[in-house]
Amino acid sequence: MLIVLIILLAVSFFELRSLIKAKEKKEAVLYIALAIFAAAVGVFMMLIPDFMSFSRMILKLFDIS
Amino acid sequence: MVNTKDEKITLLQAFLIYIVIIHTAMLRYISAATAESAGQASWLSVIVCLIAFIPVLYMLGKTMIKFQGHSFHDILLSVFGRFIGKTLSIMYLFWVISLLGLYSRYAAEALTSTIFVQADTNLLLFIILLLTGIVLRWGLSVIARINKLIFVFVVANIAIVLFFLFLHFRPDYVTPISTLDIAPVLQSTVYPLAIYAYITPLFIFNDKIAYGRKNAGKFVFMTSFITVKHLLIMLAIIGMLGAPVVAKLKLPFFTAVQNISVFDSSAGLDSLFMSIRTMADFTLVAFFTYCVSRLIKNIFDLKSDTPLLTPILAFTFFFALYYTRSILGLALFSRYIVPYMNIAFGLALPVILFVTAKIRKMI
Repeated sequence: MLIVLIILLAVSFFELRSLIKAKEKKEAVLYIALAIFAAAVGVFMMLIPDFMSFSRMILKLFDIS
Repeated sequence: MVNTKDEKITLLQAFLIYIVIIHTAMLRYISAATAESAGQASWLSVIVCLIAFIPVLYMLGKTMIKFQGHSFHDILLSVFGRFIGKTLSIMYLFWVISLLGLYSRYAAEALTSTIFVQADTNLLLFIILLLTGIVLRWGLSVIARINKLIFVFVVANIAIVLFFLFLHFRPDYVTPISTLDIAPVLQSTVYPLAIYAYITPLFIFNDKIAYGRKNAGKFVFMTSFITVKHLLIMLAIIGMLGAPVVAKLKLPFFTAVQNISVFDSSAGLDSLFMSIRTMADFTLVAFFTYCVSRLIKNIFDLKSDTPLLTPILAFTFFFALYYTRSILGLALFSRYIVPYMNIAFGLALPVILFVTAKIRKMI
């Protein structure tokens, strides 16, 4: 997971540079927001290995065991 | 990035993508789910579900042909107005993201639970998403062309496998059928309908589909093809293993393929079957990634053709791992949540869209 985070950071750097050069501000802002959100999910899973999964949360919401 | 703005795919190419994306979902899911509720009569569910599917397909087709050249997002805005249309588009985005996470995880788990038992799920998931990211940068038309080849492989593979499976076919496993089966069969149609509902995401990129003058034949071809193919697969699996066994299996079709023997020894068709299934999984993941990218483009009015591919795929990687901690969680989610979610977004919404457009005299 750490490797994927590093790859995301490296690729984002080059892609964001080209987006800023092309003056696509809206796309750059969305890019940063989505990349940060993706990284946050990854960091959360690394820091809390005992997390409650998405499917379990939804199943619990509908009271399905 | 390659400029693919003017490249469109034909309606037939779009339907071939649809046939391939529902292929793996059908193999893994429908036979076990329907066998549990309808037993030996479960093969009838793929025929009975047409009662609901054909009218929805007709309404969806009419709407999309009328609004050709416009994306699904634009159609929602035109028919429902800006606020409701945008809200529905955002809900659609969440639905498609959840399906992308689900099928990415399934694609990796299918390999680790069959032929690469010792392999790391994270690594397989990463490879699938990396490949998707590379190919999608070349646009939808490249995916459509690759998919044509995958479609041929899928059909050839299914034809070979079905030939061997029908050698072991036992008619007593798929009979008797009586009036007592009507209610369970009707109940089990939810599962094929849930998979057929992926016809709606196909029109998220309606602006990228080139319609010819005569489209009805393509709709008839697609519907007949999936019905005959799924009916034969259902008959083959249940006719070989029996409904009680199929209902308890995680991957019933793969188990049936593993049991194929030629001259009293294993035919070894499972490796061929899994490699072609992985190709179909690639189309499935690429398709939903493209849908997510196009919806984001439409909702936020972005310029690029397939924007934000890298963060979308990175998010998919983590989300697919966050989806569940075990394959059992995926199976439960697919059985109890996905069908109703798919029917609401994939079948009910096109009907509401058509009726609203008809009332407003837009069709």
